[in-house]
Amino acid sequence: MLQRSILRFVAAFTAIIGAAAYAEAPKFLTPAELEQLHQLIKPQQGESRWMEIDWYPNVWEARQRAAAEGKPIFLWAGSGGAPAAGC
Amino acid sequence: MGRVPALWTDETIELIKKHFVAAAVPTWVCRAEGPEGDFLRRAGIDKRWVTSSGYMHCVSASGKFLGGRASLSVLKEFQQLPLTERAPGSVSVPDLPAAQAVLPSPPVGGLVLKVHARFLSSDQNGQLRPAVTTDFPLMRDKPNVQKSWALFLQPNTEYLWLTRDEWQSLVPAEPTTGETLVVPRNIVLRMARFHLTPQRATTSEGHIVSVRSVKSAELSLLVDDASPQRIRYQATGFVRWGSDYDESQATTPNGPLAQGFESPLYGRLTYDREKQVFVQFDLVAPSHVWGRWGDANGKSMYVERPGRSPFGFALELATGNSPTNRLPPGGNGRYVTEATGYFSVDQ
Repeated sequence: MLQRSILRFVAAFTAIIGAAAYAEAPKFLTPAELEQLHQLIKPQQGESRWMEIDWYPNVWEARQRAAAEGKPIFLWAGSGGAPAAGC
Repeated sequence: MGRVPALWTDETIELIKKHFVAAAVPTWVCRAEGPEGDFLRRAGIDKRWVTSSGYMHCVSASGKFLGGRASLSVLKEFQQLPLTERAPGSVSVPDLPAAQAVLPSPPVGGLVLKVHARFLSSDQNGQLRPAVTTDFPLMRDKPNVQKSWALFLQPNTEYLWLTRDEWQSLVPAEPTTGETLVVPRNIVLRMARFHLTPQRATTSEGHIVSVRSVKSAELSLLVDDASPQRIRYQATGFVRWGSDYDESQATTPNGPLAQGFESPLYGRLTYDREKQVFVQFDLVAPSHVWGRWGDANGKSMYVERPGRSPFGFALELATGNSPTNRLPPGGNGRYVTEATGYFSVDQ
């Protein structure tokens, strides 16, 4: 019930056009309401699975680790640097 | 290459975790001066990463090109190298002086937040739900497009950096229940300009919101519990940037209205006064976006919808020791420069 009410509520007030709608919006969400919304947006089980992998943030550190462990390096490159923005 | 739907299976993920060392970098690194660019060029990567699109390739620590995405065949290729190029410890890789690193690291003593971005829709009862490909008119009759875009509808995660001084400015020395702190403008501007931008869910290419496009960026923290052990805050705020909404102009494809965005901000933070660290930094932005989502050529992207479309951001502390938590904001070190004003107050 909580989930239905908060998600409908947020959808409704954000659908109202203009700043006035936000001025009338509730100032705070309860912890439970916040958690519901947080969970809705965050990756759920089985989603965004590329984030299950540890990604080194630069070539050199990956190279050092690969040399130490005797493993090949798997590079994912993108416009903004995948996976954060995998074009 | 994109996010390659077929790649993220149990088998491949296990293969990568067990047999590979993974790195995520911007394509421009292969053309950068210095040891990192030199290493990639020796493996011929600069001949392969010719645009800013996504690429997946494997190389050895010794600098040999091994093939495309991580696979058993790439692993076999690696195992055929002489032992001097693949045995643990056989390749010497010296530490890289900080001045030669082409990508920035999180600020020392700083705080890193994960920023999850997700396309949303409303169901028949008006409730928010995760968006699915059929919610997008521009791809509705294009099964192949839907297939390639499906993974972009799963949340994308990137990282927001706060310096030590910045997060410490959120902690009053003598907190009082009921007092309100205004979050410094440079922090909220950073959220608005670099992170609360729906493009982060697709391609991050170039999409940093200019300061003059930001019409509102406010966040305040109400102390609702202050004890010797902790300070607990409720956060509330509002961000708006880009065009003013005009329903008659918010058409697609290639409508006349530039992109606009607005969102209330809600959150809950908890500071552990004994450990002197934030142990909770949860924020949500149930947002709306409208107008033109321009691709590299300024044309509408498939995820553009007419009118105002719901979109969501969820922020939380990046905890644990995964190197992924050190990826730069937007996945691109070039977003954290003096020119972009990532850390600046006056930009």
